[in-house]
Parts: sequence; C-alpha cells; structure tokens
Amino acid sequence: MSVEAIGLGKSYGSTRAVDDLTFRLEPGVVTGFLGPNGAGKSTTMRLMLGLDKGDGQTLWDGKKLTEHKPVSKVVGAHLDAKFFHPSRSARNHLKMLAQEASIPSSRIDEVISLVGLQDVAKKAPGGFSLGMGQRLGLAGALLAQPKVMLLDEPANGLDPQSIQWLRDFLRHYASQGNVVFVSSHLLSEMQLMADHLIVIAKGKMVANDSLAAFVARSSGNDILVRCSDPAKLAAAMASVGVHCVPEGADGLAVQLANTDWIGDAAFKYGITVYELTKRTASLEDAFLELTSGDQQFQLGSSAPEVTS
Amino acid sequence: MIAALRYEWTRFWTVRSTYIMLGLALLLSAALSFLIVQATQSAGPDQGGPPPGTIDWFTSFSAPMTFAAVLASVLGAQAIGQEYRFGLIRLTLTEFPNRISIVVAKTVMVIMAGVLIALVSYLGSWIGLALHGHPTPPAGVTVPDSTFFGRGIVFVVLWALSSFALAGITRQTAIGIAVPIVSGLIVENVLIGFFSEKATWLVEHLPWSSASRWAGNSDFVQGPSGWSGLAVFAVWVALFFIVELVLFMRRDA
Repeated sequence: MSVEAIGLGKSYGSTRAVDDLTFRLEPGVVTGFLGPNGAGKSTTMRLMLGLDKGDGQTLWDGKKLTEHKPVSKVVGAHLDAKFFHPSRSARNHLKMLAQEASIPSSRIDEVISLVGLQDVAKKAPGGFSLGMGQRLGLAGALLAQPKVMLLDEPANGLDPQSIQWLRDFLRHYASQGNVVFVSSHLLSEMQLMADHLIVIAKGKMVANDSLAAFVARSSGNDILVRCSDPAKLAAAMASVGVHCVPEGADGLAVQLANTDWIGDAAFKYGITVYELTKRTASLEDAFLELTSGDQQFQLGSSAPEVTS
Repeated sequence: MIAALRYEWTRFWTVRSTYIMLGLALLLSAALSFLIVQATQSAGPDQGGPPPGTIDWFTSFSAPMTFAAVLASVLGAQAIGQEYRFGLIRLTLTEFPNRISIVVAKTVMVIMAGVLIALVSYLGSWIGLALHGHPTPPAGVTVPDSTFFGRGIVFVVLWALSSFALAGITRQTAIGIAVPIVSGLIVENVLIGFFSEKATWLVEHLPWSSASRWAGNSDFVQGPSGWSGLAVFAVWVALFFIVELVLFMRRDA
C-alpha cells in the first residue's frame, strides 16, 4: 500500500492553511510530519482522510478512500486523545469502531492489552488522563491492523516508557510493510523514530527528504578545532574558501570541511591542534534552522525583561 | 450500509442516556397515566366529567406522547450532536468516508429510537392503568385501535427526526432538543395567540403546534381527520432534514 497526496489545499477565509501539498508515503517507512504550530499538519491529515473539504485528493493504492471496503483495514487514524464519549466504556468505544470491519471481540481484547488499558477497559474514559486517552486512540487506530497508520501527535501526554514503547511499536509496524505517518513536536523522539521527513511551514512544503539528508543540510554540522593560533588557521581556511567562525578563546567552528583536511592544513602551517571534533546537528537544530520565522504565532523572548 | 447500521446500533446501545430515556419514558408515562385516571375519576360525570373509563383510557395513552416525543428528541439530537461535541464525528467519518451511508444509518436509528420510546411509553401508560385497577378496558369502552397507536408512534418519530436534523444543522445537541420544546410549547403558542384570527394560514403552518394539533385533538383520538397537521409537520421535518443533509455532505467534519 502506498499513499499519494496530490495538490492538497485548504483555505480558512483569506488564510491559506494548506497550500498545494504533494507527497508520497511509502510502505516500510516511518514518515515524520513536522511543522511549527499552525503550519497545517492536522489540517493536512484531515484533508487526506476526507474529513475536511478542500483542494486536491489522496489516493490509497491508487484509489480514493471511499472506494475501499472496509476502510478501517486501509487506514487507522488517531487524530486526538479526547475523541470518545465520556460515558461509553473504553471497551465499548472500541467495540463500536470494530463494527465497520466486523472485527471479533478477541481482537478488541488484544489491542486493549497491547496499549495497557486492560485494568480500565470497562471504565468510562471521561476521567482518563491525556496519556490514557492517547492509548485508547491508538488502540482504535490499530484495531483493524490497517495498512496505513496516520497519527497526529500520538506521543503527547505519554510517559517516557510509553513513548519508547510507541517508538518501537511504530518502527516494528512499518517494518512489516505498512505505512506509518506520524506528526510530533517531540523532535528528539522523531529523530529516533522516523526514516523520512515531510516538513511544512505556513501550509507549504519546505522539506521532503530522508531524515539523514535533512539533518545533513543543517549548518549545525561542523568541526570544532581548538588550536595554538586560530587566527592563522582561519586565514588559511579562508584562502581556500572555507568559512570559519571563532568559538571560544582558541577555537574555530569550521563548516563544509573534513577533519583530515583541517589536520593537514594545521600541520602545514605549524599550528598545534588541541582538539578536532566533528559535530553533528540534531533534528531540532535542522528543523529550527529551516523553519525560523515561519511560526504562525511568534513567541516573545524567552528571557523576561527585568525592570529595576 | 450494513456496517454503518451496526456501528450506529452499537453507538446507540453503549451510552447511558439511551437507558435513561427509555426508563424515563416508562416511569413518566406510568405516572401520568395513573394521575389522569385518578383525576378524571375524581371529577366523574356528576361534576361535568366524562363517563367513567371513556376518556381515561384514550388520554392515558395519548397524553404521555408529548413527554415521549421530548425524550425521543433527546436521543435524536444526541445521535449527531454528541458526535460533534466529543469529536467522534471524525472517527465516524474516517471509517465511513461515504457520508451518505452514515446519515442513512443515523436516520434509521433515530426512527428506531422514536418507535422504541413510543412503545415503552405505551407500556408505561398501560402499567399506570393497571396500577389503578384497569389492566383491561371497562366494558362498553371504545378501545384504541392500531391506527391510534400508529399515529402516536409517527408523532414521536417525527419529533425525534426534527431534533436530529436541527442538531445536525447547528452541530449542537442542546439546540436540537430545545428548539422543538421552546418553539412548540412557547413561541408557537404566542404566535397562535396573536395571529389566530389575523393570519390563519400562518397558524396552520407552524411545525410543532401542527404536530400537537394532530396528536392532541379528538381527531387523533377518534377519527381519521387531522392529517393536515401531520402533513405540515412532516414537510417541516423534511425541510430540516434536507438542510442538514446538504450541510453534512459539504462541511468539514
């Protein structure tokens, strides 16, 4: 099963929330969906599922979702941790969702155990914590063992153990030839989970690449050199077009170079090298660099002003 | 379609409010029926009241129908309003992206809920009569026939459908429940007071009072006439329903 979103678009009044997004989700791959708040991630997912009316279409193995039966064996979606009736028990909630694909009761019990809700399965979920609501939502998405899992911020409210479980589970689920499309603000988690990334900002696509390629593009990938004469080394670097930024008393951050080449250059100019460290940008660095200024709702300074 | 019906069936029977409404239909009808018999027998023919038994029997079954209609309207409004309130509509429409199937399934379930509430209400009315010592009609009393019971059921079902449609239009359970009650029991009565002579056509075309006129007058009890009230209400419900359907198909979930 592959999923192809073609020209997805959606406007709210004069605001273009999603603007001509085209991408493909491949089986066997966990695709992360990133973007600042208000970037249009949730709207995109709803457009894919036909929940929101907008432009474009999404094809699931070449067909519209309405042409598949049962739909829940094609896609399992978890869009919010609070999508349940507060007085319908967790088990009955799943029983209701099970009807579309005639899923047996044994499978309901299986997913309840899988997400660890067996002790509260017969309780009304009105009093569930955010994390428990997430588990129930995940159970609903998993119920029919769909070929595609579409999850919007599934890790919100989960404890560290549950997040680790979710990561391992989704990776395993994808490895079985399924499509996993997951949005999250937990970039450190996404770095461990995703193979591929789709990044949007202000409704537009800004990256559609493998995780490795996305992170490699960041200016945060550099080499720290601490040496006896940083000014002399910087001049040597500049002479061959390599950009350096002073760092600390005796250091330089060198971009677009490799450690061997810097070591050779230092040796050539008689400079003693104290440290030569290759630094790799995190997903967070790369994401922030790419989306800086693209926040829909800009934050103030994180350091509050102090008045005397 | 069958899957959508199974989904709606499970939705209907797995919330407390279904059982609460059915229980209330039974209890309120029993209590009202009992009180009606009590009141009419207290009045008696000597005080200008009806002959013993005659009115008791019909009114005991027909009077609780307004309560039954209100209770059915709660279930009708909840069928769609709660889906929006709790975000379940997004789960529902993810599983049933062909929206027409879920509208049809919900409509079927609302009709079933209306029929069920009406039948339970009749049962409650009979219990009220039985508790008062009249489990069977007194000799010589005209017994309500199947047309009488059928018209009561249609009245309750249409009221429930009106609430379903209004809740769907506004995406609010409360509005679906409140509009028929406020309009039918207050607003339309005020309008009738003002316009009963000046604008008869208006009075005759008000939705819920037309339904009540059909359900509440002697025609409802004893004769085949009064169908114009039903027709007016049915047209209103159909209009609400068409607006709901168009909006449901076009709107974001």
